[in-house]
Amino acid sequence: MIDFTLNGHARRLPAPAPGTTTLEALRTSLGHTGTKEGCASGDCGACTIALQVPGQPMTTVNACLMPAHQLQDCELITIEGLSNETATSSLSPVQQALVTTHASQCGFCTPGIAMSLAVLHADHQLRSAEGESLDAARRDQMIDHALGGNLCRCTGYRPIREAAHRLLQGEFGPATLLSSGQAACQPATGEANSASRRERDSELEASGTFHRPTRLEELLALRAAHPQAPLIAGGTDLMLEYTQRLRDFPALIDTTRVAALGTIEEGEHAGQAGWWIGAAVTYRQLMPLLREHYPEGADLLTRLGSEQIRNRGTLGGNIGNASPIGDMPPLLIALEAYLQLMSVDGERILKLEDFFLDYKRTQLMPDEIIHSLFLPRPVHNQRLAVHKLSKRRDDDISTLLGVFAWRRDASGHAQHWRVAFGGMAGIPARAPHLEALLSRETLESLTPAQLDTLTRHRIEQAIQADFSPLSDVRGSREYRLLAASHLVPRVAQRIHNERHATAPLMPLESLDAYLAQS
Amino acid sequence: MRTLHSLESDLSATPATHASPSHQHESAERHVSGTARYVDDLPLPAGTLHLAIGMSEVAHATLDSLALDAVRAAPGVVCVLSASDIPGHRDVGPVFPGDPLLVSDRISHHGQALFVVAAESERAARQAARLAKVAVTPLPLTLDPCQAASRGDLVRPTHTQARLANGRAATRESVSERLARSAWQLDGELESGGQEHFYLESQAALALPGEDDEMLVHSSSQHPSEVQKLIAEVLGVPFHAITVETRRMGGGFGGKETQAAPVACLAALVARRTGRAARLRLPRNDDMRLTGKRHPFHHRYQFGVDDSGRIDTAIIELTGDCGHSPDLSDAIVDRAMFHADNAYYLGNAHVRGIRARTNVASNTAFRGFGGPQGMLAIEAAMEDIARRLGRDPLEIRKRNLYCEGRETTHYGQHVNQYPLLTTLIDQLEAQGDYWARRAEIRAFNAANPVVKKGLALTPVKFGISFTAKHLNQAGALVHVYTDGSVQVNHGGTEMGQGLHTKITQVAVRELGLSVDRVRITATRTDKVPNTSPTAASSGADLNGMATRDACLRLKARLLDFAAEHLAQPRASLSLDDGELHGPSGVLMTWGELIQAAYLERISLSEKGFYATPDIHYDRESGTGHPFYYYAFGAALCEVVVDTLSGEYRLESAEILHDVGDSLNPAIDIGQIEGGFVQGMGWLTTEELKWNEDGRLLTDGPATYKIPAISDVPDGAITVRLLEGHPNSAASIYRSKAVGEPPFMLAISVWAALRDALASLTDYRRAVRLDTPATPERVMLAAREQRDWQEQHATAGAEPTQVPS
Repeated sequence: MIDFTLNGHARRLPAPAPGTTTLEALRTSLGHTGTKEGCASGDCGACTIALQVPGQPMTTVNACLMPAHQLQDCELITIEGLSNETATSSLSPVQQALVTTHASQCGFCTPGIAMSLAVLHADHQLRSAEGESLDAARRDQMIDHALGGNLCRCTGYRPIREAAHRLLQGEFGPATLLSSGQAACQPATGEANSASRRERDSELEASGTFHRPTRLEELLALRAAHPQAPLIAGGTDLMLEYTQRLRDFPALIDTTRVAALGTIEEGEHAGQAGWWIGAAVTYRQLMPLLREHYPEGADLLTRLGSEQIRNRGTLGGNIGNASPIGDMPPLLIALEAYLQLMSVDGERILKLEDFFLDYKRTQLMPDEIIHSLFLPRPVHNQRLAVHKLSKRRDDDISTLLGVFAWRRDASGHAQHWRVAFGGMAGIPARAPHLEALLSRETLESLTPAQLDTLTRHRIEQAIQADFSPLSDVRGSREYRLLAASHLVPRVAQRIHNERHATAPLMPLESLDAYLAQS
Repeated sequence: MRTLHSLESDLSATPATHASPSHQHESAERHVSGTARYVDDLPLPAGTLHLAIGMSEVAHATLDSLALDAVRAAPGVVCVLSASDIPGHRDVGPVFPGDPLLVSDRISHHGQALFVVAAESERAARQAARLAKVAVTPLPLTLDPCQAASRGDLVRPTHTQARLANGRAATRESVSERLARSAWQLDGELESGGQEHFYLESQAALALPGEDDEMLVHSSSQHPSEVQKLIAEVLGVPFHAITVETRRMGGGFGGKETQAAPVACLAALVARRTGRAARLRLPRNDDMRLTGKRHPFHHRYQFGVDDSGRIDTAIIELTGDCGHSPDLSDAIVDRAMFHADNAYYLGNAHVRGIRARTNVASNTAFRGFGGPQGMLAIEAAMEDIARRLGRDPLEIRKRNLYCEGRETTHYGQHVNQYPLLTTLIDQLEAQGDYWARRAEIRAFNAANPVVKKGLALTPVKFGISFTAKHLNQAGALVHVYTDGSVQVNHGGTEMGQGLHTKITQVAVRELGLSVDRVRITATRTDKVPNTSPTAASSGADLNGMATRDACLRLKARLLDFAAEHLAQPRASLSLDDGELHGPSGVLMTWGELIQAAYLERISLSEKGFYATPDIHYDRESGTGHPFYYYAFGAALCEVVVDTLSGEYRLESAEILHDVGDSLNPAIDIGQIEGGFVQGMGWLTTEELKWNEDGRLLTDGPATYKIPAISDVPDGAITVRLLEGHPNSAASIYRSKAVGEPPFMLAISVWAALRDALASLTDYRRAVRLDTPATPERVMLAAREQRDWQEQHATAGAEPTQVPS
């Protein structure tokens, strides 16, 4: 049995098969058809729901990627729970805002958008109450982030954005999606639908086990006993196996309840101060640390997936699935991160860049788990440039990702280059030839306007010596090689601009720089 | 009935108000509360079967055998049907044959439907569908439409429109001869990519078997009458046995005009065979692999231009990639040809449309229906001409607009209201401060070697009417019940475009009622029969007129009755604000009038009908008057481009659009904004890719990128409706269709990208930029421009002339 709260009411669901998604459970057994399936791959946001894990804030989640088993002890709010039927108008502020601004056309994405807005509204209210200064530009940024994972094919977004702005300005009243225990009325339609769909419960009948360990030893023992059972945290990648490739999981091992994997602690390793970050720490939880110490990394994080994904996806997952286009590994490799692996037999620590062996192949043994990652503190005068290229700016996977880390020496020159790329090989990897070239050059002189053919050629050669990328659906080999080499003059221009910070009107090195300025 | 409903509550109700012109979408509150039901949200009867389609894993082959034993034996499977199980027609081609419901012998695209599995759960059906053993003999594969065309592999014959400036018929030779005499000759080539509809609700149907051969099918379809027809033919039963209902779609955009029918037919087939309800909702990847998309096109163009940049001769060849079957491609390539002029007078013209057959899903209707593709070549040419002559593209565009003495298209239709094109462009040019911004952008670009800005102002002219004449008809059915409530039904379907809202407003206006008195019910083939698809932007034009017709008849009958019943002069009576007004004021409420009429045995139900007048087209001569009228618009767009990565962003889009007298400004603006952004997606990030085996690689939103909210920055898009210019044609309340025309305003985004790229050569060279202009294409084009500039740096820039 799974016990949880749905729209303010205690619910009990017969335990379904381990992979069964929250979306399936909602639309079949629970008869809540307001939550829509648009893609079942976490890319469209039509199935967005609000979820509160005990002890954590209410966040948005793609119901299509979340195993129903993870609902245990959680509070779930769906579109059916958004309306307040006791008030004079049954529509909540979010819903009123969307109606007023003509923000729905076909209406199919609308429930997901309403849920994202409801959580944004509550979050905004909370931050305001805590005294955070939220001007129009900051609000607009929050709106982009909150709705970046909600696709709408009809409206062109302008009215949705308007609804969001007016909502956050308080025009439609205070947020209603605030705390647990809110007793929203259970809509009659849901119940009726549920009855008519009861026979479909058979779809969800269980075979297999969803393991939910709470202690590290328990997790390690399960890992050793069931080496074939996948580990699941946010499920943002693994669940595609279930929804897209239709793979049934005889067993899943949930890592999200193991406290030791969910914490960030200061510590040191190899003589450096830094942080030990648990493998089940979500991108959302990681954000404040990056924002404070590696703001370029935090900016990258805001372009990783969507809010719904960032609320669930974990650092350990992004590393463990060993995708060549994961966004975190190139950043962490450039920052000289380490990985702590653990099994019932003990632990070992290795450099992150040594973890990846070949396409989707790593050093991780079948009985091992990723326990945590060590991220060093930035050293004095450390600089970081992160460039993610993708077809669409938000909610897209990198075509390529280049991360450049260096230090400014006393005379202001760039030294100690560490450069890592994603999307350029079967694994995320460093670029030794390019690093060597950068160390030899005085990059300060290489502004794009002055970049001579010879230097351009040498950069391209270094990239080609480091990588032989494939052509695939995201980009051709030719584009990847050229675009990667074009990142160097960008970085050069940035260094140049920093050195001449007092000079007026330096040329912009990139679209990012333009957007940051405007 | 024996007693009538008490009207007391009605009498005390709030005073009747007319629909405000911008009345909210009729389902807005249901949308936001999750209670709007789509096909897959309907409560299912006990025993409903869930279906999955078994799809081909090869693109072109003969199907030697289909071994389905393992599928049948899979857990939960109830039945598995293939082509030989179809009792009636096996081909569901909408106009011409070529679309087998299930393949019997020849596989012609990757993902094609081979069989259907019905199981106790959706997952069981989908898992079982993967267990088939399919034996095939591969055949050579064609993915390139130009290759297919050169071999003569066409789904339909080539069509040509050729006309000399003097109005005489022309040949390729006579036009080429004129071209040779032009002061300047330009030629070019372009590839434009297709587009996945990406309606958020994938294709869905629920078939409910009735008595004997009867069946009710809920279908997410833009064309319920055709779904009804095809189901009846597939099952081999009369049309009257089949009822198709569509309450609403979660987006259509043309993708549910023909593509909804096979899904509904398969559900009906299983329901007939098993006697159980059957539901089929395509998983996103299956939907994207199985259904057709916007046609990719290859464009080849030659223009003859005089010294002022004015086109005098045009030779345009458009090759549409139709996919494996005709579907609607004949009409789509026709519409591309009809729009090869966009808003410009061509003079001597030769326009040829080729319909190539390739081994991909059969490409189909998509907002604009070939029109957007048709316009690309001439919009590309506008920039080419400008760079060649050292002038600003806006100057060239303005010089070529339809104008007095140059107002007839290459297919011989006079462009009514053509002066609106100049009005729109002049207004935008002034209000958008075009020349000041042009100067600012030049200064910005001069100071920034990497980041470049681009600006473009482009017009749209779009012909309104189905080019298949018989489709330009519509019916409506209006019932008044004895409590005074009114139910309206019409042939159009609601896919989010606000059609039902507009039709409600028509009924409300004609009957003098408030909006809450009128309800539009689901589109059903048993209420209004033999309907046309809701397509070609015609929904409100056609169904609005049919509804108005029904309301006028009903009103006339009610007023006739009232005149006699109340002994009042007929001419003095009117219906307004929910009341019957006479010479001395209010005579009775609407409810009282209805009840009195009922008691006097006056019919309270009426049907209406409409057929668009004055349209014809002669295919033999390639001339005629295919469009009842034209809708116009213009957009001024600014973009910023990172020339080292190819990344770009929309900075602003100012749109001025002509909807005649708007039926509902809020809904019209919504259509314009949404169409623009969808068009921007088509031209920028929405890239379809197939591998060499013909398998679609971009089969989900992880790889296929429609615009997201951050692609439309805050305040970037401003839309205004052109005011004071009612439709010169007698359309419903002198409004104009709005579904498709704004889509093509997005061409300004692409033109602005090319403008930014031209800055790399001091605006001396136009670069070819195929669409979608992904960051990759933009970066490679920028590289090409830089290389050209390096080679020609010494030549010296001729500054573009800017009028003072």
